[in-house]
Amino acid sequence: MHSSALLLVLLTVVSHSHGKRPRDPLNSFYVQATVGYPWPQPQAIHTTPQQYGVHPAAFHFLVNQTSQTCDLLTSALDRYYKLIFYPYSYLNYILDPESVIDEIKDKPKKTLFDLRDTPLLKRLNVYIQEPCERYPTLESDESYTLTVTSDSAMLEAVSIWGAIRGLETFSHLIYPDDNLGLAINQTTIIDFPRFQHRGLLLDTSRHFISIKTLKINLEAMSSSKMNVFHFHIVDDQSFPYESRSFPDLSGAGAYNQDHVYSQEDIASLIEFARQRGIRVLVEFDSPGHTQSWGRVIDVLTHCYSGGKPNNEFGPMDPSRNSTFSFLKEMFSEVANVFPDHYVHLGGDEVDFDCWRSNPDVQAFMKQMGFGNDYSLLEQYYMQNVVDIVGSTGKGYAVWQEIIDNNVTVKADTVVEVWKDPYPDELARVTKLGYRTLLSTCWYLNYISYGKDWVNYYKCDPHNFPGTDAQKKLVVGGEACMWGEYIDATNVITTTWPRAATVAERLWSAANVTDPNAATPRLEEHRCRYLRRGIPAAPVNGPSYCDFEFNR
Amino acid sequence: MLHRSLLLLYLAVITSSEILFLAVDLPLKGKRSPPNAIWPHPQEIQISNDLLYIRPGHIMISSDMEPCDIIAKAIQRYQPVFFPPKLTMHQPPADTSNILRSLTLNVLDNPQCEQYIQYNSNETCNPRFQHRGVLLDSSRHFLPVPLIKKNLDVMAYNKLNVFHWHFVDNQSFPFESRTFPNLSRQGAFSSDHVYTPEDVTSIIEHARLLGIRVIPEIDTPGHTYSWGKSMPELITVCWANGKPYQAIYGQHGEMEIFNPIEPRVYSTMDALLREVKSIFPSNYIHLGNIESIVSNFVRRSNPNISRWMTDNKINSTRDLHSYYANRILDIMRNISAIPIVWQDVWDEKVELPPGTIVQIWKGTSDDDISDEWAPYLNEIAGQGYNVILSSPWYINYINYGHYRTNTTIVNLEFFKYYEVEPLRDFSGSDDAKIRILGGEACLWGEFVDGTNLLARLWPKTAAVAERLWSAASVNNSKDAQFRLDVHRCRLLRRGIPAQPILNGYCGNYELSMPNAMINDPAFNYDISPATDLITTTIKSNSATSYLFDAISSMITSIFASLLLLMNITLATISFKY
Repeated sequence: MHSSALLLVLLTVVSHSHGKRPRDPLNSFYVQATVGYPWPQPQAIHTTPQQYGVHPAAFHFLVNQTSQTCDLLTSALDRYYKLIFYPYSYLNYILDPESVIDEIKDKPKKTLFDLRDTPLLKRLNVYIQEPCERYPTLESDESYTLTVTSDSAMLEAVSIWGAIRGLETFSHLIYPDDNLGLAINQTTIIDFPRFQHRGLLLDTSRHFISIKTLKINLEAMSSSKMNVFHFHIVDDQSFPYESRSFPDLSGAGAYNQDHVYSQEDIASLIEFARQRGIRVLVEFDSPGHTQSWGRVIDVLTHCYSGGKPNNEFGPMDPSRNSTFSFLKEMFSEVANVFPDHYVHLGGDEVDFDCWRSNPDVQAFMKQMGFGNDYSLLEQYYMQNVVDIVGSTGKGYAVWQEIIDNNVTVKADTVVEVWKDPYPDELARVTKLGYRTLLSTCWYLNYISYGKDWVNYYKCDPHNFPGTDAQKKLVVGGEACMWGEYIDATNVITTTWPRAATVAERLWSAANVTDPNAATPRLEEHRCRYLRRGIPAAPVNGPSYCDFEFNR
Repeated sequence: MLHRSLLLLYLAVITSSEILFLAVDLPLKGKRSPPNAIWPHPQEIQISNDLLYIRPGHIMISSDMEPCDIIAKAIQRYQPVFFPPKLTMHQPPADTSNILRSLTLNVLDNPQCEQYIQYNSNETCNPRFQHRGVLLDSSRHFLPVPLIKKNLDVMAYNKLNVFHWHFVDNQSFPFESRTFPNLSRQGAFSSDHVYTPEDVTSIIEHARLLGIRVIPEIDTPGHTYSWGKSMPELITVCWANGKPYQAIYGQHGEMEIFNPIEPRVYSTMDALLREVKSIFPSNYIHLGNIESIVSNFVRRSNPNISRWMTDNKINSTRDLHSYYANRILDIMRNISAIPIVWQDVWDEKVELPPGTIVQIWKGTSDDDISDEWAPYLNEIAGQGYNVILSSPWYINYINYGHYRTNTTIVNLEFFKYYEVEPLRDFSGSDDAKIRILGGEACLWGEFVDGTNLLARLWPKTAAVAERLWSAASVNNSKDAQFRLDVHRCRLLRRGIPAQPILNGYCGNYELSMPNAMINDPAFNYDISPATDLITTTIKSNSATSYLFDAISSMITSIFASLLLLMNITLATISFKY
C-alpha cells in the first residue's frame, strides 16, 4: 500500500497556513509559525483549507477489523489520545501512568454544542498489514499513509512502527483553533523515512542523566520520528551501569550510588523506547575511555614512568588474557540485557603512550611481532572484542577508528563516521562496503550563538563522491550530545529542537533543504514541544508560543 | 566590614567527588574547594578547622532591628536555604557541645529599616562595586513572572543588586501601562504575554525584599515597532524609492523609529515616563539609546522630516539626535528621574545631565579577553559621567568548551567572564575611578525564554557577580572554577537549574532526581502574584538528621544582603552558645 507510487507522484507538496488568529503580516521582527503542519516534512502531503473540529467526546480511534494488532498499538492509541486531548497532563501521564488528568487545564475549549454546526472528525481508522514485531530493528518498515478527507480518517501502515509514525503525524495535524477548539485540515499524506537509522546520542558518563530525563528525551525523539537512542552509558568519568555480573563496576565507578542505572531502570527505559519504536543502541566504549572501569577491576594498562608503575592507568590491557575473559562475561551480559541486534563497541580515541610505557605490553608486542606499531595492538584488541561480541549473536556498531585500523569486522557492522572532512570519510568507509552512519556535522554539544541549526540542516549524509551502491550503504546518522557541559539542567533545552532539524534531514526527502522554508514549521514544532511539556528552547530568534514554559 | 572573624564550619556532608580531568588528556590543576566555599568571595574571611554543629531546623536568627519586614522576610526566606526541604539531615553527635544555636544580626551605624535599597556612593569596603546588575530582555521572548522572581532569588544568592529590565522593544510591548493600555493590548505577543500592573508591583516588591533595585528601560526612539501597533502616529514612516512604508533589509523596518518631529511623541513619553517613575521606586530610568543609528536612514528617507529639519535649521543627523535626546532628558529633569543611557548617546556627543549613568556595551571581539572597551571607561568617566560596564558580559553569546592556560584548562565561558578586570587599563583620576559604578551581565532575549533562562544565566553570571563584589586580587580562575562548581551545587539545592561547568555531579538533589528541589514550593512562585509569599515551614523531623553544609556561605549571604540593605558600614555577627 505504501508502494502506491502513482499516488505519490500525483500529490503535491503544499504548505498551508490556516486557521488560528491571523498573525501580523508586516511584522518581520519575529518568526511566524505555521499552524497544524507536521515535522519532519512528510514525503508527500496535500492539504486544503477545509477544517474539521476535533473533540474528545466525539472522536475515537478504531482498529480496522482486518488489521493486525498488539499491545504496542493499544498503548500507542491510548498515548496519542491523551497527547491530543490532554497535552498539559500528558508528560506526567507517560512518566507515571497513575497520575491524573488535569481537568481544569485540559478542559476542552469548546463544547460539542459550540461545534454543532461544524463538521467534526469522528474517527481515525487504523490498519496494520503485518503482525507486530516485538522490537524495532534497522530493517523495520516505518512507512504509512494518512488520509483525512471525511469525518472518518484512515491510517494505513505495513508495520506497527509505521502506524506509530503515522499517529505522530496525525497528532501534529491537529492544532488549537480559536473557533473550533481543536481542528484538523483535510489532508492526505504518503510518508516513509529517507534513512533507516535516525539516532540521538546522549552521554551519561560525564554527567549522569536520570531515567526520568532520558524518558523525556525519548518522548522528544518520538515527536520528531527519531528511532535510535544511542546510549553512551559509560566513559572515563563514571560507570553508572549496574552490572549483574560485576556490580562493583558501578559500585566504585559511578559518581555515587544515586547516580546508577539499575537493571529495572534499564528495562523500563528499553520498554519506554520500544513503545515509541525507538531502538536502544548501548555503547560500551573500549579500549580507551575506560578509566571508570578500572576502579575495581584490574583490566586497564598500568602506566610506567622511570621504570616503575606510576599509579596512572591507560586503555584496556590487551596483553593479559584476563582482560578478554572479563570482556567476554561483560558482553554476554550486555547482549542479554539489551535486546537490540546491535551493540556499539566504541573504539575511538585510543592513546598509545601508556601502552608504550608498560614493559608487559612491550613484551607482548614483541611476542606478537607487532614491532613498534601500536595500531596493530589496537587492531588485535578490537579483533578480540568484535569476535567476543560476534559470538553472542549480536551485530555491532563502531566508531570509524576501527575501520581506519583495518580490524576485520562482520559484514553487517555499522560504522559511525565522526571525523572531518566527512565527505571523504563517508566515501572511504562506504567504499569498503560497510553500512555507515554520519555524525560529524551533528555534534549538538558544540553550542554557538544564533540560528546554528541551519548548519545541521544543510549537512547531508549523501553529500560525498561515490556510486549509488555506496550511497545505499549510508543507513542514516546521529545527532550527538556529549556530556562535558550537559546534565539534567540543560540537556533537553540544548538538544531540542535542534536535534529535530537532524531528524528532518534524515526522514524527509533529499530536496527538503531550504532553512527559510523550514523555519516557520520548526517554530511551530518548538511550540508543540512546549505544549507537550517539553522545554524546547527558542532557536529562530524572537518569537512566542501560546503555551510558554514557566516552571 | 567584618570585625570579628567568622568561625567557619567545614563539614563534608554534601560532597562531590574530586574532579580530576575534563578529559583524561586534560587533567585539571587548581585548588579544589570545600563544600562551604563562599561565592562571591568575601573581602575578609578567616576560616578555622573547628566544627560547629547545627540541629536540623534549630537555629535562632534574630536581629536588633525589629520590626523590619526586610529582615523578617529574609530570615523566613533563608529557612529552606539553611535546611533544604528534601535532604536527609543528620543530628549532631550526642557527645558534642559544639552546637550553633543562634545567629544575631547586628546592624550598626544606621539602624533604621529602609524601604528600598538605594544606590549609595559612600559605601566603602564591601562590595567593590556598587552597581552589580543583570539585564533581562522580555521583549524578544516573554519571560514568565515566576521565573523572573526565581532569577531575582539567584541574583540575591550572588549578591547582585540591580535588575535592569529591558521590557519593551520592536518585537513586543508586554508592559501594561495604565495610561496607555493599548500599548500592550496590541503590542504584546498575546494577552497572555503581558505584565499586568500587579505583576510589575509584585516583581518590584520581591526585588525590594532581596535588596535589589529594579531599573526599567524604555528604549526610544528606535526599537519601537511594537508601540506603533497601537500608536502608529508616533512612528516614522520609512520611505524608499519615493514610496512610504518601505523596509530595507538589514537597515530598518518600514515603521520602527519614533518620529522626532511629532509632538505626540513627547506628550506620550512625558506621560509614560511619569507613570514608570511612579511605579518603580528606583530613581533611575534607562532610556536606551535615545538615539538610533537607523534614524540616519529615516531622515534621509522621509521627506517630511527632511523638510522639517530645513525649516528648523537642524543640519545634521547628530543634531536631530540631540534634539530628540534633549527633549526626553527635559522630561526626565521635570520628573526628577536620573537617566541611564547606552553609550551610543555619548558617542553622538549629546550633552547629558550630571549624574547620568552611561552604559558601555561596545568594544568586544571574539577574542577571549580583550579590553577594547577600556578606553571608553577612561573617557566617559573622565568627562564626569557615571559609568557601568557590559561589553565583556553579554551572556547570551554562548560558547562551547574550555580555555587552555599554560598550566591547565578552565571552562571557557567562565574564564571569559571571570578574567575581566574593569580597571586593568584604567588611567583616570581617583575621582573618575569612583564614577565607575560597576557593571551588568546582559542576557538579550533572541534565543532565551522560560525554557532556558536560568540554565543559560547560571552559574556563568556568578563570575560577573564575583568580579564586581570581591577584591580585584580574587582573580585566580583555575582555583575559582572549583569554588564556582561548589556554588553550582548550592544553586541546585535551592531549586535553580544551574548548568555544569566541569564534569562531575552534585548529589541526589540534581534535577529530575528523587530529591530535586526544582519544583519545591519553597523555591518557586505562582503565576498569580497574590500567592507568591514563601510560606514553607521547615519540617524538623527528629528521625531525620542533618549535618549542615555551607552554613558559613549562607550566613554571609544573609549577612551581606542585610549589610547592603541596611546601608551600613560596620556590623558584627556573634554566635551565642
